[in-house]
Amino acid sequence: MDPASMKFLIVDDSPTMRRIVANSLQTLGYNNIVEAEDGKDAVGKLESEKFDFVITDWNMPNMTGLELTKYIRSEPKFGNLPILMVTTRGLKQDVIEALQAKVNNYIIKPFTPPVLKEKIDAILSSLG
Amino acid sequence: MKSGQIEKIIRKVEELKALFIFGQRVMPFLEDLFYFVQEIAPLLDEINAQLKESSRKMPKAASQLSKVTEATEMATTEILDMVDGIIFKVNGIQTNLNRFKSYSDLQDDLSNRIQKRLSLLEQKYPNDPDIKSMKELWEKVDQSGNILDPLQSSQNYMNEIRQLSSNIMIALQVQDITAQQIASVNHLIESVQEKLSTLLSQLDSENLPELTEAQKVAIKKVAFDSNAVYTKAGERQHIADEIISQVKSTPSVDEIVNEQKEEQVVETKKEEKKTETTDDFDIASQDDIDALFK
Repeated sequence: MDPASMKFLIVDDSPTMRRIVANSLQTLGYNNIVEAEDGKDAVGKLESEKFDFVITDWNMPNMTGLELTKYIRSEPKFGNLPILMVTTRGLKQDVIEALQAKVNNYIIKPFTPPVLKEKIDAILSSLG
Repeated sequence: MKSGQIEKIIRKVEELKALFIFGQRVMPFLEDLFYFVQEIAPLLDEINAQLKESSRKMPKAASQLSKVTEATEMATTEILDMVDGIIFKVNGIQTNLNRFKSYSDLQDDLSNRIQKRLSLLEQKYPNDPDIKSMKELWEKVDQSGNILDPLQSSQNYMNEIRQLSSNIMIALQVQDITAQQIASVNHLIESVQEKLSTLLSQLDSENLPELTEAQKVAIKKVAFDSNAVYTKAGERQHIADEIISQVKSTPSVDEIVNEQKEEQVVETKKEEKKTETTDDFDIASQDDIDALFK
């Protein structure tokens, strides 16, 4: 898919992190970006707009990234919407829990743009 | 009086006697206890007052920590604005450099064409001093007009500035991580405050003052990871990647979960044998994570 046409949803309660992820995506050529401040806000946006990729934090008020992932996977209308978890949680059981919830990949903060690119590319190539 | 009644009275008298003996023995201890309580009472009052004072200060500490998070968030936003400004200006300079490059290419092309014409004129009029002089002059112009090297050097600098700006942006992730650490400390303070309040209400009928509205607003309820740490990017990612590659190489995530449980049981047994405790966490590397997702 053409990076310019891909629509990203960044979900993070930290405005700093949302901005850093958005800037990193822009340097990678992805300019169509929408932000949500927690899982609940993201659900509202997912219900009203179509997205091609979700990048979500884990620890958020109202609705966590894990709950958001479970919600997306439980709704057939979202199909195989790619989900990349970007979080500070780096314990093995955290990674496994995220995998069980069916995230496509997992990045531990602090991340670098090359790692972000690597994970996005890996997800997109695995989905064909 | 019957003999049975006399025996009963004697038994009661003996019991009374035993009670007096016990009282005599206990009396010095009771005196000690009395003096001890007399001495300890002011100390208990002091502890009570200190607890009350610390407990009153806790909401202020929590609110000040929340203000630190707000301040760092504002400062981070300002730095990000500046980094964005730098990148915007660098891109502007890059556009100008590209224009210079195009101009330089055009100049090279024109220069080559003029050189060729002058060479043809020189062949046609070999003894014309003006043509010879013009050709020499143009060669000097051509040599002095070479701006490609400084252009290339400037472009390298621009790339370095861009990379440094990106590094600043990445380092600013520390704000999110410290905000979570502060939120974790605040949570801890709140828990201690709660316990102290309970303790104080049992010691003293006077209740502690409730949090003011300003304090409630200042202490933001935020979601946090109490284990959030700022490490060099990539270190923890490797462990996470390894987990992912493990999961990817096995038929299901559940198998890995079961393996993890078995490992935990074995580890628990080992720990029981050693009768040691540890606070170490099982940290995932990026390689672990990658292996799960392959």
